[in-house]
Formats: sequence, structure tokens, C-alpha cells
Amino acid sequence: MALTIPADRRHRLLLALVVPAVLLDLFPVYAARAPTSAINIEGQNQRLNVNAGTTTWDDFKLRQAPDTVINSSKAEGTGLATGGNNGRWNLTGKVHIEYQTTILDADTAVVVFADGQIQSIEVHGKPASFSRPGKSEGARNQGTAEMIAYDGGARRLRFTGHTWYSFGPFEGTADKPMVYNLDTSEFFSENTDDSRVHMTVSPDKRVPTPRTPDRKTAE
Amino acid sequence: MKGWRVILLLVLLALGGFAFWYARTPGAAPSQAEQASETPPVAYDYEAHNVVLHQMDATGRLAFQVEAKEVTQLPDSGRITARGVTMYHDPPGTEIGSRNRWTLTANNGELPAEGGIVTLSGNVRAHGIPINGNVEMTVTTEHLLYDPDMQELSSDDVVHLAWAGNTYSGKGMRANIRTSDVELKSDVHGTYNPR
Repeated sequence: MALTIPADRRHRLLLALVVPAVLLDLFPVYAARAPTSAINIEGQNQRLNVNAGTTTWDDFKLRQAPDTVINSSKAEGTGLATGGNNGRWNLTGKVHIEYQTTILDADTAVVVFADGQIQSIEVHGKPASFSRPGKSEGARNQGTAEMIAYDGGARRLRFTGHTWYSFGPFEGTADKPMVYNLDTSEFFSENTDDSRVHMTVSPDKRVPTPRTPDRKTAE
Repeated sequence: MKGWRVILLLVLLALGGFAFWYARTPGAAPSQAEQASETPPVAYDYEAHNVVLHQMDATGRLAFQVEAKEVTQLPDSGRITARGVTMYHDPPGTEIGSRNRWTLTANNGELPAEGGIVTLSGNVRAHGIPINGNVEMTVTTEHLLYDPDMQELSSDDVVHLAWAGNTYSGKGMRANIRTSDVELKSDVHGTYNPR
């Protein structure tokens, strides 16, 4: 017996399926936003002013499941009076940040949390460095710059100051701001006057030509 | 005859030795002099149950109020020990019983005779809103010193602190109620819970 659905119910079913899909498409940020987990901190010599919502730590180690690690010699947190989900952390000394698959090492950094999630990261160093897995297995996209800024909304890294970058067999330098898209793994120049990215292929990084299969042993 | 004398002498020496050994053996009945010297002195000046105690400061203002299930005062130092303690403290500059009142509870407490530092031990809990603040702070630990004059809480033990939905623990703490400054010294763990 064939299953038949009355016309008015068909419309309701269609609406029930289509409306959420359209909403999720229109508001991907909300659809993709994962529930936040607790932020755990370890350290020494914590000083806290509960009225001002400020704190300082030595040997600072912040963890947030599943993939956030922030370490530094010293940390100063502000804006914590309404809870630690929101706050701004100024980090100094041996700053090491792992966020999702991105690793940043720097001398100083500013990390801003909003609603329990990292909203922005700005690291400074001489130079600060960036690394994350490339598209192909074993390869890493890397870069160094005087300042590297992460924009959580745009999911981009912005390199300013003298920048060196490397991905796959390519590497290059730039003195104008560079942008790295975390979703597409693309480097591009931010400047409109010369948007081309200048790259060189290092001999030691050249991808070896695939060997021709030996026909005698090939099956 | 001479042999009997020797045997008698040996028997007397053996009895004397046994008597000496028996007298020194623990558990033997003490002498009256020993009994007198071991009589305990008066353990306390007074003992009271279900007590409300008001401690005034130098200006005559209520420094703190203590409610206790049992209170005793020691004769040597005048020190007061209390059991089942709830202590209320209104920091200077605040109204008695205002929202800035601090409440401290503990299994045991020691109060100096003439003001000074209060020692609390056993399931110690202190909570209140710092002056000029809006958020309650709660401290729990096993031992806590409270200096009402300096408005300071301190402990060398592991301390747990809850504030604004955040929790901290660490070994060694110093907290000033007046300035709302808190210092946790070592092995500090903090958790910011999602809201």
C-alpha cells in the first residue's frame, strides 16, 4: 500500500524541513557555534581583585577542551568580574598558544574571550611564529612575523611587519600585511596596490617528481 | 648456722630488689605526693553553652559577634575557645547587618581575650560581599586566621575560593576584605564555568 500524505500535511512537512535548513544557512555562525566548555587555569602566585575583576598569574597554563592550550610565564586578566567566560588576557614571556590546529609562539600576546570562546588573538615577537598542518599529509604551513593576529569571526590570521611564510614547496617574504585563511589554507596579500604574493620554490623543498612505475613489477 | 645467715641475707636482698622493681613498675599505685602533683589545675575559668558573644573594638563599635554551641575561657591567657562557631563581622564603614556583613562558620574557634586574630578550624567557611563590590565571595578551608583590625583572612592550608561563577583552589591564601584583594600562593587551579 502506497504511503499518501494529505496536501496540507505535506506543506507542513515541507516547512518543517526547509525552514531550519534556511535558517542554518543564513546564520552559519550560530549553527556552527559549539557549546563552550569550562576554562581551566593552573599557575602560581595568583592575585585577584574581585571587585575590579582583575587577576595576575605566574607560570600560567590555560586549557579549554577540546583543543585550546595557552601557556605563558606571566598573565594578567581583566574584565573577569562578570565571570571568566569573558575577559582579556595579556600574556608575557614564552607565550605558546595551541588553538584548534594552529600553533603560535611569541614573546607577548593578547587573547580575548567572549561567551567562553576565543574571539581574537594577537601575538608579538621577534619574530612570532605560526604553524599548522597543510593540506597534504606531513606538510605544515608556517610563517613568522612581528605581529600575528587571529580574527575569530573571519577565521583569518593577519601577519604584519616583516613576514616569512612557507607552505608546501613554496616560501616567501613580505613587508606588507599578509593574510592566511584558516578554512582554505590560502596566503594572500592584504594590499590592493599589489595583491600578488611573491613566492620562491626552495630547491630543498621542491616536490620530487613522481617516479614512473616500473612496468616489469607493475601489476 | 653460718650457712643459714647467708641464705637469710640472700632472701632479704631478693625481697628488697623485688620491692624496688615493683615500686618503679608503671601501673603501680602512685604515692600520695605523686597524686597531689598530678592533680590537674582548673581547666577553664568558665564554660557556657549556646552562647552569643559580642566583641567590641577600641571605639566601642561591634567588632564581631560570635554564636557558639559551647564556649570556654582559659585561665592562663584569657583565651576563649569555642565549638560550633558562627561569626559575624561588619567591616568598618558599613552598617551593622548590611549586605557587606561577613559570615564565618567553623567547627572550632579561638578568640584572643582582648581582640586580635581569630583562629578558626574544621570545615571553615567564610562568605560575604567585599566593600564596594557586588559579587559574593566564598572561602572554604580547614584552617583560617581572621584579623578583624586589618580586615584580613589568611591560611597556609589548601583554600577553595568561589566568586562570580569562577572557582579557584590553591595552597596558602591572603585576602583583604576591605580592598577585595586575594592572593593564592601556590599550586593554583582556576575554573571558569560556562554560563
